[in-house]
Amino acid sequence: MRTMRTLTVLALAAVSTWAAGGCKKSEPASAPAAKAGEAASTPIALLPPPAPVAEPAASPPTVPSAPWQKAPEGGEPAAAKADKLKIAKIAAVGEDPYGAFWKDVPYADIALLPQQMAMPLLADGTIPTLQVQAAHDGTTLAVRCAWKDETPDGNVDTGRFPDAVAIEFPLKPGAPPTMGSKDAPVQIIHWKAIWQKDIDVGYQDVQDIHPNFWSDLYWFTEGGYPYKVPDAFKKPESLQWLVAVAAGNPMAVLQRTTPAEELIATGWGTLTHQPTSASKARGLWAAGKWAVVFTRPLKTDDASDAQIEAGKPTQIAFAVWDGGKGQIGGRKHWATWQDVEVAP
Amino acid sequence: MATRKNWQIGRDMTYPYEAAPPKRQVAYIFDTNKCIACQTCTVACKTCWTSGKGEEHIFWNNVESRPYGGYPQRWDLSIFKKTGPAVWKGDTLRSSTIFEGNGPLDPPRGWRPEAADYAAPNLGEDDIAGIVDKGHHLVGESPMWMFYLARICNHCDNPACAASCPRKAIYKRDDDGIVLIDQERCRGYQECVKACPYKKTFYNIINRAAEKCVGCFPRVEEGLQSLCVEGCIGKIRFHGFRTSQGEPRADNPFDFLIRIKKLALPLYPQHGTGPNVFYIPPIHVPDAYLEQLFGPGVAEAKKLYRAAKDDKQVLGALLLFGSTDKMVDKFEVKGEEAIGYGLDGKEVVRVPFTEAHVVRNALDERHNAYRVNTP
Repeated sequence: MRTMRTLTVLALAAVSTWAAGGCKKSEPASAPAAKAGEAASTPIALLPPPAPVAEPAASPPTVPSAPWQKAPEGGEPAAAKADKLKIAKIAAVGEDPYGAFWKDVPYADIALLPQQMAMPLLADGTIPTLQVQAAHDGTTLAVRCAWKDETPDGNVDTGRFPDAVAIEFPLKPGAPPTMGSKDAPVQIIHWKAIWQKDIDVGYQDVQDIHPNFWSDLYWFTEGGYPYKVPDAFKKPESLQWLVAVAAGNPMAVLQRTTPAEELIATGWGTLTHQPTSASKARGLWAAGKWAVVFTRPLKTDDASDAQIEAGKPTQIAFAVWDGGKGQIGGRKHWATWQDVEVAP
Repeated sequence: MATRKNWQIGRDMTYPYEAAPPKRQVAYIFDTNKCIACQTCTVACKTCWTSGKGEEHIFWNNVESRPYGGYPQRWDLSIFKKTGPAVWKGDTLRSSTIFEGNGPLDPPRGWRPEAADYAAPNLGEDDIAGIVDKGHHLVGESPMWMFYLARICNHCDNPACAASCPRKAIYKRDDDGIVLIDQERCRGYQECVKACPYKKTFYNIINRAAEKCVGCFPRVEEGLQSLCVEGCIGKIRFHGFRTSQGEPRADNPFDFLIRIKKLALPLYPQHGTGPNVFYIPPIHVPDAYLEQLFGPGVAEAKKLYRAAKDDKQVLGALLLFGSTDKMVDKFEVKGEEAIGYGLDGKEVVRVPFTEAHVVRNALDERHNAYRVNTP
């Protein structure tokens, strides 16, 4: 065993160059840092999560942002608390999580449970509540989900997952909130921090998380090291080894246009990507909290979209993931259907 | 949970899905005694299949030195921390497989490596098991042993990767038993990376999906052996179909060496996945170590291998290794030759027991010059 341990130590020494910059937690060199003055206090996403700190509720207007994001100006729009979630009617909605119009939309705290009905389960919940606001302006629906998370996780790697949130609508009355059923499908709109990062700073490249990773060549690519994705991979034949990209896997979209994904499901294990999507999203991490806004037209001509009608009640369910705690897929928090009144 | 028969552990076991064995099952035999860890297999595989961006750390095929090497690091020790050691009574496994004794909503017992665990794929290369003290010399089994273990996906009978995937994006093909990940459906949850006890599913950071050895399926569909097998310069590997439904056939070299002669043994049968890469154990390594890897049949297999020179049928089957790029479905020994027949029943190769050789005189009379062996 001693030899074994010695070898392990040697191994770590040998790979330290490879690991420099932190295999576990580092940020892309290309990511725009927060404002210079804030850099020191910026939590680096890839270090072990700091010990929980007191909620910086009364913090001044400047707030630390996710390392790759621009800090929002001013604090979080303060809204009144409501007992029950309701879709309010306001003059105009938008997708800015810190938009001033959110001040006029009361929020409800939705209790979250760890998912323990299907494999694989989340043994321990880490996010107790989701703060939800919802509003429409006659044509567009906007749902804002906010939750506390000390570390914004916007990268993926082996054992590394992004933060995420999803909202769900029934496509038929009586659809179960647990991913729908064969006869009663549900629609899901999904946001992930890595997709937000794709939009904010570009597709996560190998060197963003392993800065010293070297390869002499990738077949049929253009240019030289580090053969950035997607710029060096313009020739179709160079995509042969990016198999999921070539197969059109919705996880592997090199030029993403929105961090939102529309899906439908008819039971566990059936989650299916929708090629046409009317949904958009935008997420912002600031001061230990994610705020993500989903927007979509109230009405669409897509049969796999839930149709929302002003004045008619609807239902929304929620799911939230803390990627830094290994939450992915079914290992999530969820909240069952909320019966929601839609203001006329 | 379904009940499945697992001949490798001598009993029935539970598995999440019910399914008949595939029509045919690809199988591989690796002769560890002949492997020199030249990594030609590794390079053949990587050049063809995993030379893309995001695959830098991914080796569908690797060759590690035993006992200290391992890719990813500690891949086998780490699962034993969860399962405990195997307990055998004769040929029957008494301890639990990774599918048994879990909660109803638990995937197979597993662990997920970290990125750094893949960083040194040939760590521990050539390190020997013991300390060389003054006076040591080699007699039979040695305390200073090491050997090379070549590893690919086992295309298991009961794949843990498929059992763990909540999206059912992993499937086993009925025509050849090859286990594949659907590259359109995978959402990168990495449950399979955690569940596979052999750590032969990998997360690709550019594709954001998992990937694994595809068993060179385009070649298999043409009746050809896989690239890692064809490329093997030591001719340690053999690739073809074993009988998956029905009785083992004595004229099928895989059935013969695996099921009938039990010369080639599964790697870690105690996990219950029913791996389909079978190893001829290294004869110079102590049984106590090998039994942990290959189960209770080690001593017999080693004995048989030492005696193979006198067993024409066994030797004939072994001679077919590396003799053709085509799959051999049937073989026979006729006189001083081993003959292999392809999937269509036609002869594909004929290997003499003793290779034709010529002894040349030191003096080359035509040029009036002496031939010199240059070291």
